[in-house]
Amino acid sequence: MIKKTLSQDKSIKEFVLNNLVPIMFIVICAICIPVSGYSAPALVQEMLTRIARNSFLVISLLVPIMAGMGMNFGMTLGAMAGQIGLIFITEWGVVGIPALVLAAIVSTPISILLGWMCGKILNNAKGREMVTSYIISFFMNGVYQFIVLYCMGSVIPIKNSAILLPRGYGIRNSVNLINIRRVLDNLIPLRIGTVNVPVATYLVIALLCFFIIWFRKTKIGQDMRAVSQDMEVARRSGIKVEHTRLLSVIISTVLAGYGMIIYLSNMGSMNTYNAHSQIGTFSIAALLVGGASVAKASIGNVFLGVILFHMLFYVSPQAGKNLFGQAQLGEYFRVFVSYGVITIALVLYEMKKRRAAKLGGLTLAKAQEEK
Amino acid sequence: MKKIEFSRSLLIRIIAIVLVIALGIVMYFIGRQHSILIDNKDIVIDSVTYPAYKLLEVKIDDQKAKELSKRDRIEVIVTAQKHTLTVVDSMKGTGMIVYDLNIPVKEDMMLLSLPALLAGLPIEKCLTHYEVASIAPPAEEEVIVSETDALLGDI
Repeated sequence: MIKKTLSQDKSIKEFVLNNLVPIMFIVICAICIPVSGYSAPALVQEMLTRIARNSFLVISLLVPIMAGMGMNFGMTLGAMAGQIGLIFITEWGVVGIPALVLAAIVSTPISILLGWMCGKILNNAKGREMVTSYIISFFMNGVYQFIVLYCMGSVIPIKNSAILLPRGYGIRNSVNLINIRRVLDNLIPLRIGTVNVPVATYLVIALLCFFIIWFRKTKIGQDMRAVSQDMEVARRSGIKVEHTRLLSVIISTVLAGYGMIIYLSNMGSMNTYNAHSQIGTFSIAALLVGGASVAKASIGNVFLGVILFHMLFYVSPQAGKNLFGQAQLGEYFRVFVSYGVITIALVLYEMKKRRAAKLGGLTLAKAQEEK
Repeated sequence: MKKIEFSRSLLIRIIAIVLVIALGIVMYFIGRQHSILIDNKDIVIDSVTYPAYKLLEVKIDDQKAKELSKRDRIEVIVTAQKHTLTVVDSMKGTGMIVYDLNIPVKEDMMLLSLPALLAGLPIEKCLTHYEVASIAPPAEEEVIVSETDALLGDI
């Protein structure tokens, strides 16, 4: 009986340790929701919108994790490609769903090129993929700024005065995307009570989820999993390790580009020089909040993470205002939490890895002693 | 130098790329937005004056019908290039007159003169390019590129 209780205690401790980040978020949300004073329909509406807006981006992170490359901070490159696609459709005066498709088509070759470049670099920085991709995103941000701020309008033909800076070249700080605002969300309108459900966006996300599930079962998906387990073993069994890793980054970058288009079309305006930097960190934070680790992530983690992370994002300013009389406090709190959670998740992952290695060593020593 | 081998997979890739580019072009044509300024004003074309009508009712495609009095101008926003314009002379009660409009894909804004159109002039003479004249030089805008800004705010 005592043995059973002890093992139960151990499994509870294990469960808590394994899901520390989501549990922390659930507790914080449970405190913040009543304090914020939002009504249930308002919360549901906001969550439905935010899940539709962000899930595609977060799902794009799954493929590199599958290949053992950790969180792809290089998804920012895809986001940049998506933004370039959106700048072009605004310049060309294309509207509606065709505009979304065209933006995706324009972004694809740019994403592929950037993803290929990023993947090549990451192949030369094995074991340090996350920090390398993070720095690549900073480096490419400079290139993006050069292209958008100096080349567009001077070298690249842009004539639309609504997006062009008054000096005649460079894109404005903010681009109005009224031509595609919520076109996907409103494609199949569904209203349940006071809540609008963006059915078409959810269908696109569902399609991507099915693609990920199917992709895992394909030869290349299996190869990615083998590479994530052990690169040397995978190489000896005939898998082209570098090629597989490269492919995973390219797929992730392309998907991030599409995700950014969906995200910005939902927002209805684009912060030309900051939106992409923001999205990488927040998408990774959302995935980690959902219980994913650097080495393992699932579709379930994506949705749990997006719900919890955005719930906190939505309620914390109001909760801060109601508690302390200042919404700004809540804003700082959510930023602190989003970066804090990345740190905690990384530390926990490293701790778990060391503990597993230690346990493995002890088991081996015990086995040798018994012999 | 490496010789390119035309295998089946390469052919499939080329076809896929061509199809995607073709899809992009189709999307551009069907999603291109145009503004049509519909005018009911006196107009002189080739030294002939075409007087404005007292009251006209116009409708483009399935959009809501609009009334135009003398000297009126309305803006209609359309997507794609082929459209149907229906005009009714509300005062004379002449019945519906239907025209087919074909807007060049590169045009952002076009001006359509109804008096000229109703007088039977060819559509090319009635539908002309229109450029909005800038009134004042636009104010300078400072570009804000900030790393810390990206860390704050909602998503």
